[in-house]
Amino acid sequence: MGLNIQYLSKSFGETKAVQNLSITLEKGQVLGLLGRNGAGKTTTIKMILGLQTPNQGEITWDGSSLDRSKVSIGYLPEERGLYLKSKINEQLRYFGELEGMSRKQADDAIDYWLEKLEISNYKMKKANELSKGNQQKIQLIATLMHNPELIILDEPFSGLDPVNANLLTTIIEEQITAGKTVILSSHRMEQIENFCEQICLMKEGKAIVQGRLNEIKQNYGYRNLSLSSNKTIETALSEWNIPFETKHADVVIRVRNDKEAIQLLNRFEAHSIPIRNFKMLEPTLNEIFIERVG
Amino acid sequence: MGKFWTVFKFHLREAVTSKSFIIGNLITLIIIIGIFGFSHFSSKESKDKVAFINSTSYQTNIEQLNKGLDSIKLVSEEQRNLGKLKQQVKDGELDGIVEVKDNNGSPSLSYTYKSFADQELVAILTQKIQQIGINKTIAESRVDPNVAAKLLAPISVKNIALKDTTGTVGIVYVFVFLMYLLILGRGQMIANTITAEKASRVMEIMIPKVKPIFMMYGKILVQLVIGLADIVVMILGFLVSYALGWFNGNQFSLFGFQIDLSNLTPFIIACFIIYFVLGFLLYAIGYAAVGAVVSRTEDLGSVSFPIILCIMAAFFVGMTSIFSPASTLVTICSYIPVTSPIVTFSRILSGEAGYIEMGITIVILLASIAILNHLANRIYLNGVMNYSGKVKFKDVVQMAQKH
Repeated sequence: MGLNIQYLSKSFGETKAVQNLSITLEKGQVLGLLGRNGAGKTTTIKMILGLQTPNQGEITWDGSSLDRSKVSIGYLPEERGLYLKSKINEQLRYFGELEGMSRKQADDAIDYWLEKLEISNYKMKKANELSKGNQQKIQLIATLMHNPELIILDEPFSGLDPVNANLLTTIIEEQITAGKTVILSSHRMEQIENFCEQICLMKEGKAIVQGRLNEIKQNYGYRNLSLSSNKTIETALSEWNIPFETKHADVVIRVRNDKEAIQLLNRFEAHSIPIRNFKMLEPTLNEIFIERVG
Repeated sequence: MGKFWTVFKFHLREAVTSKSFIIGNLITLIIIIGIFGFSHFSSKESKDKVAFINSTSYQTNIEQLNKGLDSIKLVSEEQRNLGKLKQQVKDGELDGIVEVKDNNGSPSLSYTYKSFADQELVAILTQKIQQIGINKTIAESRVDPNVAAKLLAPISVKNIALKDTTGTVGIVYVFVFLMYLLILGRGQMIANTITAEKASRVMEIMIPKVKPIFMMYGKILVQLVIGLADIVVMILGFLVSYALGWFNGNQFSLFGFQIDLSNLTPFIIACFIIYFVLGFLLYAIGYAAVGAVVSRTEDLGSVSFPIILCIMAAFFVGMTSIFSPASTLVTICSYIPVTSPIVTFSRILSGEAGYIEMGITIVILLASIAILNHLANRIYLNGVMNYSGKVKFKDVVQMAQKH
């Protein structure tokens, strides 16, 4: 049991933002909600948060209709800000109290998270005195300080420098280890790929690729046969009209399955073309993304 | 309701600890005390000084003349100094010269001033000097003084007002102005804080945490409290001036309006609070909706212009109602929601609106607030999540419709 979205649809006038979307996410799992701008990711998130009413379909949590007052959600929006003229501890306490925390619980959580993110010295400062990176840390605290069951992070890595991106990665991993259910929405496939067991790739409001990431990759329809590059291999492939790419010191050939790869390796052997090493690689999430929605 | 109070407390603390609130109220206090202080000291010590020259045979008593003048002090001067006195008027050392002359057996006056004549001085001196001239003529013509007195006696006019509202004019003026000022100022603040929340994108963090309606009413209630606090500060300035003895008794003058505090009954104060709160809510909800549809504070001016027009119309009709509270325009406007709070309050003070009118207007205002609240909720909810650049009237209508 966890989050269950069934046949969700939402239109704005003539525009169909989300069409017949169904997602099942068990508790403790991580979902990557992917897609280009305008694919319907943020509308889906807003419907989960109860900010927009679906035209059709339902969203349940543990079998009951998702009620924002009963399920603790931590949401980091794509467009995020702070009360610039307010002190950090005052606004974090305010955010905590709005999530049902007592003043003491909020204060304890503020101290814990400020120390964890190494910004305790900014506790009494106003938000406009902080750098953009530190403001983003405060926004992350506002998302996680009330220990939510369901965490929704919309483009969490946007605008972060490598150090802060690394810090955020560590924190997301900790939350996953702690058994939190997480939805990550992003364009940055390489960062999503590390966390997500499940993905939902959206295009024009529809889920076009959906399911467990490793199964999607295995059954995607091709694999990449990677060989250490040399002139003879490249010449032979050109003569046989087999398309290939050179990546760094490797030649990458797209094959439909293992059998096709072995046949190609046998052909190299039959022509006495030496092979120093080879690898069979699944397609990357980035490749799938570009091919399906690009 | 717990979240509503959390929102209210946060924004109230932000508002009362802000520099604008502290400095603004300090300035208000200083201005109020300053006005009364200036009025008190200027009336005592700084009367305009006007030279008075009489080289005729008409007998004038400068002390008697001065008794009739409130803001001017006549100083007796010689005709030979006229040139020097004119120079003093030019230099601003003297406020004017009045010279009594003989014009073929009748007295006449010559009044020299720098740029603006004092009409009070002209009116009073003309009357007094004319009387001196008449007396002299009567004496010289040997007319029986009793006959002369009868001939010159003015017709007596006895004013019988069945509904005397002159005493309330000053109070109406102050309260109408106060209501206009507070609704306009505080309403603008509501729109500003909402747009600022959108502009800084903190709204995105807030909307999943708390119902937008709580956020909207939290801010409206904070500004209402701040508006009432502004009134308390003004009363404080008034009380300080009173304690310092800068005005006495129940009557004083403010910007030319006589204010009689004996007219300020608990009923009037209750009416002011009722109509101020209703008017404030009506406009505040409008301002909140306006603040929610724009994404930048610089766009707020153009979108809030229709609301400003409404409140200015209410103010001008309110001002008209001071002197003609029974006119058709004023009567109709007292039933139109946007003008009703100011105009009806003014009519109540003038004695033109009774309990029935009060009841009807309160019901109209409550119904209007309920309808506006329904529309504003939708506009607010859809508006705060909309960051598109330019907002057209058509977009606002759509926001009010969709859910």
